[in-house]
Amino acid sequence: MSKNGSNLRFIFTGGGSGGHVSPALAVAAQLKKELPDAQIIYAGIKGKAEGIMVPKAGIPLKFVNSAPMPGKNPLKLIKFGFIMATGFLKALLIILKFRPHLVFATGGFVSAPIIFATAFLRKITLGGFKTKILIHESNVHPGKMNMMAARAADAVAVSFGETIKNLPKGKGFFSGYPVRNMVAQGEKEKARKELGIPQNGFTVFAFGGSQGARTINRTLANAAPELLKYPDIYIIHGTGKPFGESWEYHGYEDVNEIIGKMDEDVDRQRYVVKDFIDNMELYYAASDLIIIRAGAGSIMEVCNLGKPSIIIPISSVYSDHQTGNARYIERAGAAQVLYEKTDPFKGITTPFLDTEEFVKAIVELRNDPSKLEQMSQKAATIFPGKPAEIIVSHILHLCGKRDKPQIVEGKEYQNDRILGLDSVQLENFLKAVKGGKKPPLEEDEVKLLKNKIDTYFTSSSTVLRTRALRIAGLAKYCELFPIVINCAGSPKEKPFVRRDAFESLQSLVFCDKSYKEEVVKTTVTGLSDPYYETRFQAGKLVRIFAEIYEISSSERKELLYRLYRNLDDRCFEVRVESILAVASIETEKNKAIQNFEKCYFDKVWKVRKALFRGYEILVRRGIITSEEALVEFDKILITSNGYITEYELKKQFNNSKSFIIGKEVK
Amino acid sequence: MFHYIFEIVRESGGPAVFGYITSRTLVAFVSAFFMTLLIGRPIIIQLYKKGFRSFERSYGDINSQSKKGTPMMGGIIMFITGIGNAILWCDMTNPFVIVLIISAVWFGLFGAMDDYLKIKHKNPDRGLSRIVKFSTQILFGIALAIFIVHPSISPLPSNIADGMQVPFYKGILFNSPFLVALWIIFIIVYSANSVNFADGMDGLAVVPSIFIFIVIGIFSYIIGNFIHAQHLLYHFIPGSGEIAVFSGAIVGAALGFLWFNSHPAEVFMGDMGSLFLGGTMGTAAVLIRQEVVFIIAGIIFVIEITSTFIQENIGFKNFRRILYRAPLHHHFHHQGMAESKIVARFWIISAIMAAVAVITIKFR
Repeated sequence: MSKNGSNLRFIFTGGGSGGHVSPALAVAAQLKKELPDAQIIYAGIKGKAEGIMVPKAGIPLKFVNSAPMPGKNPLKLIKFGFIMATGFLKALLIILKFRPHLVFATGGFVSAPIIFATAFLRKITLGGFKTKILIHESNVHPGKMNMMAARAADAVAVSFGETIKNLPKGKGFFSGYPVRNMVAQGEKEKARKELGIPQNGFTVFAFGGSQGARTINRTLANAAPELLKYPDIYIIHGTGKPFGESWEYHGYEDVNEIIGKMDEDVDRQRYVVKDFIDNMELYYAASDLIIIRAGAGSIMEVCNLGKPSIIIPISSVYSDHQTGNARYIERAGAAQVLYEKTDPFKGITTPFLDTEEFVKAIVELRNDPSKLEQMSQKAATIFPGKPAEIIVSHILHLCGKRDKPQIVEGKEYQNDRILGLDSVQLENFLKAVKGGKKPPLEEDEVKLLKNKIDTYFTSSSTVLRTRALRIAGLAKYCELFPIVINCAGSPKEKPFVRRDAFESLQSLVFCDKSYKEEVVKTTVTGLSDPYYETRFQAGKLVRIFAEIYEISSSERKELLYRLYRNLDDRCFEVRVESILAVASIETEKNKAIQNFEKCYFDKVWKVRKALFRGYEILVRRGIITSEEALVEFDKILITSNGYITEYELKKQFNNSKSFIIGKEVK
Repeated sequence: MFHYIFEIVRESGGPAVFGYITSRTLVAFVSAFFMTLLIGRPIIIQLYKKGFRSFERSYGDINSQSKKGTPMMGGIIMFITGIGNAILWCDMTNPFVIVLIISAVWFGLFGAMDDYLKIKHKNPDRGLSRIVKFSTQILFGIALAIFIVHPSISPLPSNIADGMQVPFYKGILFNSPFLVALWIIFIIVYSANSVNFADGMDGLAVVPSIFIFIVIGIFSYIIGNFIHAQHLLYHFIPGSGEIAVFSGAIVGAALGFLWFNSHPAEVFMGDMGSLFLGGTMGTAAVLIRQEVVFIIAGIIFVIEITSTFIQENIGFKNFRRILYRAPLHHHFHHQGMAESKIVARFWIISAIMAAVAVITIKFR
């Protein structure tokens, strides 16, 4: 190795989509500029974006095998394991042959074989193998694979300041997202001339990535007649093109079909639809407003150009990374975010965007040039510094060629707490909020949360649907009330769904009293549900709505008939809740006492415990007198096989700790 | 170790009483018990200091908060004294003893690894992955099956090695190396997991394990003694009597562990303890080829593992709960039964089933 480090060797990896390849290429270009003799090779997989982009940039490309993580299907898991194993071996060969000084990865599953092979070599040689690993993370919330890779890496460059705290300590540093050299800002007029766009119009450029985005395509096509009523609006629509054969969605055809079906004439002079755009820079430069997906690459390009944008993140059950990215830009004041929806009311499971909302957002921005100006200024300042240069200086530092570079601070914005959580974590988080352990949700968070619940609810997984129901209850998602009632009463739903629907109703009944009749009717069917937990939750619901509804005598009769029958239920939880429910709605004391007598010697003591509580409620409601209740108390078997142990030392510990820190310790 | 000394004493004309299997079993039992008491507390304190403490884990509505912080991986106490005393009092040239010690080390080590990972990640669900756990068990099962069934290395007479024996029937049901090998693998996986599932309440896993080791000790003594075996119509397996000495050491260690683990527990055995106990008892049962007796004696474990299986694979697959909670002890706990009550009842059942297992000696 020569002294000036010109013989350094690097492996770049990462891919799958253009969003992973282009930052790697930007860094590679910068590296070549600083070290013209450095050897760089690129590792990717066949048939993906890197196959086209990397040779264009003049970097030799080697292929490894890799695949994204599959679900729980064992056959697919075996196939996945096989692919990863061969990919790992290929990566080992590449690394051993090339012996790089540093591996630079932009994340995604494509980079996994190279990273793990390098980490493996370093581990088995106990540090004798000195190749460094540097990762660039492009999203706000790193994926699972990237978190694993981050543990093996020497350093992780992040695009968003707030990502650092999710990473292993001391590894993260802010760089920003390296983008290709683009047309500078002030060249709007020149670009418009070149593309034949009127100079004084309001130009909207929508582009959903090279493969197209269904939501953007359909919404824009549907909104086009409405938008074109404003004579100055000029729309350029990049629909995307299917990439390989696996992609079943063909944006260009889809859009033309929608327009063809329309009654109104669409002015195709001002609504230009293109399936493939190769001079992106020009279109970016020519436009006043850009509509994009929230992939890290697109939003960084748009922000670096200082363009205002409307961002439409992909809604996904499994990951929030696009929403996270979009929110970051929105909080910085550089964009407006519109969320895709699914509609649990109409059962629409394909995400869509409300056309009216979409039109309104565009028109409002068109009418407010000062806001556009403000957004575009903010966009230009979100990502300070020169990402590629920062990363290259860190690369050279890791190779021992340069001193530790100065750390650039990335801007941090207050985070939405519900993003980046999976459904289980979300449920636990909401429980903590409800219990007062965490501060309540803000307005924006509620909006995101409702959107998430919709997505869960329309998903095909029963587990996610049950969770959606429970979360809807915890979050008091009142708009969902009628649907939850429907779920609770439908015998076609799975037992867990009915159970959780009733559980959710227990908090939703406080939303709106006008659904009283439906709620009572559903509860009556719920009380004779074949699944015991549903009967149990329905009984609990009776106790809760008894306090807020005026129950008519016929409804009471109907409910009591089922509740008294449930006192003989073979599940003790149903008996417990039936007792409490009876106590909450019964008006005839003799009937209550007579029926309760059946449970005086119940073999599960929790039922007898409920009797005491039941009589307590009856006394409170003034149905029976306290003397009468005490007479009944004496008849109930009071010995049981349950008791609670108490660890006296732990209790003292908690008491003393509470005293010292001045706060209740649990 | 002491076995050699006794041999030397006997050969030079001294008393032979210490060389007998029965006396060595008793001595191993007593010494293991007292050693456990002796090293128990210092080890518990060390575990606590090193941060091997259990964390709260949510079992639905069961309040496990109060047990948070109890030192875990207490299996190491049983491991040290059990194996230590086995080495002290057994004939270390006996192949059965060697296999048992290998199994104890194998399962104990992987159990310890599991506990360590859980502590390291501070998450009870992030121990060894399911696949790794099962593959270590299956791997050991395969090795043991080959050792038993392969005629050239098997320490058992060939007609017994690949023969299936059941209680209440004198002869051998059938001979089939392949089926018996599969059966052995199943027993190993089952026994290693069963104790693990039962280990959810103070003393719940230890006492049934003690009963099982007593039953195994009795059987191996009979089967390893030519006269008793002939008298009771068992197939004599030379050398298997040493398993009784080994069982004695484990029973002593487990009883000593119960000293600390009884309700309210000062230490939990953790996966190290449960895998170690489960793995060795399965191995011992396979070595004397009395697996069915072992299953009868450990009916509590069968119930626990079956209830979990039913709940998860039949219930949850159909989106409903069949039991209130699983394993079965949580089902009762959910109904409000106190922990000590459930544990005592499970002990009673396992004592009765151990007696039933012993009675099968006579009813054949």
